[in-house]
Amino acid sequence: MAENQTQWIEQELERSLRRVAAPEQLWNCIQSPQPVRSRVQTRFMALATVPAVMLVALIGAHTRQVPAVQFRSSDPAAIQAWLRTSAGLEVPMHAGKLAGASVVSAGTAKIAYRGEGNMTLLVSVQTGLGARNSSRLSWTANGLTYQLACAEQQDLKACALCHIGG
Amino acid sequence: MGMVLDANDRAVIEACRQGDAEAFRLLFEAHKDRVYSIALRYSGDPAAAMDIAQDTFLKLLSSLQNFRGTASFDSWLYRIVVNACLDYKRSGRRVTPFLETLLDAVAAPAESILTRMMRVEREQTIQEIVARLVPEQRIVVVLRYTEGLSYDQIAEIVGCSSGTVASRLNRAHKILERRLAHLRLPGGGNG
Repeated sequence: MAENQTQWIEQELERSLRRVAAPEQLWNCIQSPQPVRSRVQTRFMALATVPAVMLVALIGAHTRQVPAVQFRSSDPAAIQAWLRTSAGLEVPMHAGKLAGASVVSAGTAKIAYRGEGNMTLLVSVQTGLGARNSSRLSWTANGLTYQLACAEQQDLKACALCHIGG
Repeated sequence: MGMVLDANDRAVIEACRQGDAEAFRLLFEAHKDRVYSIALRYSGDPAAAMDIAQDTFLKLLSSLQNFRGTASFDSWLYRIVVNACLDYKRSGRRVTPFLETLLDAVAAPAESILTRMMRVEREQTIQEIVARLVPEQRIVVVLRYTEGLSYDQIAEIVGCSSGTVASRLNRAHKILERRLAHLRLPGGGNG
């Protein structure tokens, strides 16, 4: 009985698992191979992409809040001292949501402020009368040219409310 | 299996080593059905079988330098395809689409459409159940029934003893007998 059963299952397996002809496309696949990736790997990649995208988004949001600056500080006196020694600029600083400062070239620097929400405000300071950009809010004071720059034009309009006459 | 390469085979392999594309095509043509069949019967999925077969031939080509002509080329090739099967991970099981096989069945004039459809369905059920065996049992079943290899030959390819092969096959038979019991007609007929 058991022998019969084994014989039956062997016959079924031989019939069902017999050799088949390979598809014609196989040769083309080998000539221009695609990376073999199983569905588990594909699913894993898809799942791994989600936190990666979230991480990039978080970094992006963080970068927008705190721009990359050479000198990171929220202390007006510290930034003023750093600008004096690094760029030869004497910039009167006021308390505010300072993020830091960077030197663009001798006599030119950028000061970063944290605005509301994700807004970042960059104040470009230049000795003398710098080239004014009509799309930006700019003014001169004490021999320095200031220009405001925001990622969003809307934010720049908000800045203009305080810096009238630019 | 187990035979040493003849002069022609050696020449083909040597030409492949030298980068002769035509020689590789010859090697491919000689072994493609075997490689694809093992991959298909193991995975139960034509797309996966293509991936496995592709992987096997690329590995074959890249490791031909390591092949020693004194060993059996067939055993060596079997080992590559078996490793490619075992390395291939998958999430879901997909068998040959039923519609496709049914269309094939309808196109065949030799036997009645109904008989052929029933046979196709039966084979598909068996393939599905084989595809659900654990990899160690499945590969042994495929080498035994797709390739008709002996226990000793399977043991050499898989890298275990003949006793282990026998035990895996025995366990696989028991599982398949249980799961396929509904296909067996009373009185021991084949249905």
